[in-house]
Amino acid sequence: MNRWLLIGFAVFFGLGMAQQRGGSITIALQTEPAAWDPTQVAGADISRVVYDNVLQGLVKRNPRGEIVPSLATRWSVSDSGLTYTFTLRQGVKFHDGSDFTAQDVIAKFNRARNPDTRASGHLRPDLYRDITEVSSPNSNTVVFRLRQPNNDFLFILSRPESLIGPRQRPLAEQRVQPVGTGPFRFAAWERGVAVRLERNPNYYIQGLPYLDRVNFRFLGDGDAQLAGLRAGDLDVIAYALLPENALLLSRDPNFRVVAGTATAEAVAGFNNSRPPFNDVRVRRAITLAINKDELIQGAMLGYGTKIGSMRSPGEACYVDLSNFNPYNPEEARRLLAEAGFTNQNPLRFTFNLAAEFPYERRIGEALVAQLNRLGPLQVSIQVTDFNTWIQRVFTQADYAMTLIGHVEANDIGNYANPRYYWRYNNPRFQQLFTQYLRAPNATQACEALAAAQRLLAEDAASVWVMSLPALGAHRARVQNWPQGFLSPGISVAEVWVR
Amino acid sequence: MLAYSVRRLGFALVTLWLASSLVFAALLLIPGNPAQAILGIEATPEDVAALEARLGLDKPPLERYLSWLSGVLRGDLGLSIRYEQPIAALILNRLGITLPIVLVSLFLAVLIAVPLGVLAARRAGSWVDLAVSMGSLVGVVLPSFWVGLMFIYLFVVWLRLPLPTSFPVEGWENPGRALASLVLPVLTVGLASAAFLVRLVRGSVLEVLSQDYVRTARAKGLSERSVLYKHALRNAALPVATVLGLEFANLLIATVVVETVFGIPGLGSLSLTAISARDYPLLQGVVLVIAAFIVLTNLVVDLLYALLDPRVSYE
Repeated sequence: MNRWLLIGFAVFFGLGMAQQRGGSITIALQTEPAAWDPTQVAGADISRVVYDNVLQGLVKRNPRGEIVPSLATRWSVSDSGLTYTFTLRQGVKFHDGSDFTAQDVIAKFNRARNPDTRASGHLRPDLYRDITEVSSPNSNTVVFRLRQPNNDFLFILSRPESLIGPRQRPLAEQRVQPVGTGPFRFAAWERGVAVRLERNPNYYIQGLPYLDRVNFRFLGDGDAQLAGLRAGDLDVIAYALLPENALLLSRDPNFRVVAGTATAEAVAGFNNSRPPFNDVRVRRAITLAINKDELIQGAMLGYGTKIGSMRSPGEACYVDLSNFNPYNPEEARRLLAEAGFTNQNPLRFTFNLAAEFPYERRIGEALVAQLNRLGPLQVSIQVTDFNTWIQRVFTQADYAMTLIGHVEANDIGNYANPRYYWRYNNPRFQQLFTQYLRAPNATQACEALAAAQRLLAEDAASVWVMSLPALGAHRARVQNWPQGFLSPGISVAEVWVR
Repeated sequence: MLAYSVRRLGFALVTLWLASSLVFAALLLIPGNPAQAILGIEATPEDVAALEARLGLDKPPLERYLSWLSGVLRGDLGLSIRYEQPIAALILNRLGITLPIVLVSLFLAVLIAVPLGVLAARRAGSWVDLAVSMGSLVGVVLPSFWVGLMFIYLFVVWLRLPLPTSFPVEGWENPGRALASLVLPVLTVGLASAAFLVRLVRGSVLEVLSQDYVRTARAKGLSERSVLYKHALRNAALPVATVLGLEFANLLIATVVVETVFGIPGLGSLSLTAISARDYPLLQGVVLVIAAFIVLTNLVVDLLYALLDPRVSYE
């Protein structure tokens, strides 16, 4: 039996993987977003569904995290770094039948950079601040002029906020039923149940997509997802598969487990403005008291990658600082004693966790156990719902220490914002980050970013526990599932089923 | 009877108003912001403020409450913050799923619990009684999220019954599959309810069987069957009816666990969404509807008393 299977495979691959058209798959989604237009509402699960499936931008990030052409076929940057010229793909139509033109691009980015968000309904005008003008010298070219060089500009254009819809489409309609240029059109949103995408018959790449239909099913509970996958109601758990379930499925020939790294750092953040966490000795001591290897093995069953600063191995300009400030309880006790905390006079504080995130919950609880093992630390855990967490910790910075996953790519710049919930205010870091943004070439930009990563680690501004694992699984009949988790979307254009 | 019903209805309206006000106050006390919940943590304070203005959340709480209340009095529950859809339609849609689950589950529970409870009471102390008691104990202590998952593995993964493990993605467009997806949730909820109910039926019948009038009935030579069905059961039904009414109201919201496991878009999961999104008007709407059901059920149970027990009169 097995031999025949092998021969069958050999013949199959020999013929060169004949992809089959048609069929449908159902993918589990953890939450149900409030809307589906990433220019109006933010949320990782919005992007997972619509990014490069429904809506596209000038450029996109592929599953390996590279910025590649999308609605622009190529681009050039002037030597000054102030002018970006994009050549648009021709003959592209939106799902509503209208033509995609340079005017849609101009309207989109003029809306995006309007500082009055009430009028524009567009998120994050701060991202587009450097744009002074968007113009179109001819119908297939769009030119952006910037007030100063910005090494993140292409990255910004690859963000979900930069996706482009038809300029005449009312915002309220785009919010609940986005119209784009992608391989799938947004067919229906069954509230509380699922989103259905259907093949775009006019997609500009011949032969794509393979699937007729893709369903994204809202199912928050990890065990319910597993049950659905095994029963055959779900084809894919694309992300946040529980480590123990990944182990279970990896032993079953009916399923394929996909493991990798994403851009999500598990950050145990200090409130850097609050005593005694404004003392670098205390922050370093807490970092030294944490055994990251033990957390990866114990809490995540070996899934996850040790890091030592605010960057994941898959991202550009990554510096491996995973053994900077390594586990050293003696040194931790010495530093705490220097700061005035001993077994007799321990440092007491509360550690905040949000209930909704299973990875962060278990890592946080194990981490607090490690801190309490040290002696001079007495840490208690407070678990609240995410909404409370946002208000108390994130908005008001009314906390001592917390742990949450930062899923955004390239988000080290948050340390340059002293108002961000870590309240980290280091002019040297802010200077390095500006140097990175304005550097005249990629080498110098990376040098500045490397120095910024090192400075954060020396300062022990937070504890970067691990780059969270990206864990997914799908049924064996699902073919050509994207390898890599470094895109904001779960791109299914080239997926097919047997 | 009519005067009584009218008086009860008056109380009911006050209860409903109190319940909705309490929920509004409670939501104001807990931290959290609906606009931030929608936009996520990457949103800037300006983004949040803009959305608050669009949703009318920048108005003072009292003003929002009064405008909600006047809407309700006009029969309009308002718009959900989260879904930007009419709340009445959302709730009605979800009730169409939760109500059948609850009603069929209760029916199933009665169907199982009454015969088993009577049997256990008649053979009190025997091995049948012991088995029923043990079984119901297990049913009561097992958490429904676990039982639900086990049912999926037992019936769908191992026995390969063609039952969906969650509500179909097409919703009611595929009525057969939608109904089939409710089978396992009904079984989960129904069996848990039956386990709870069977103990009550047993206790209630046992108590009635020890009453003087039962001894009299037996003494005058009535058959055991007629003692049981003509005299004992009718009286034993009183506490059971009360509890059934409470259980109905309880299940309307307690199904939230089962709805989570089976991915069912019912009233329970709607209220969960409303709470985590701080969707004040939606939650007030849900509470209002559930409170209305509780009040109504209590009224029906009270009226049933008069039918079951001739000594009860509402004149």
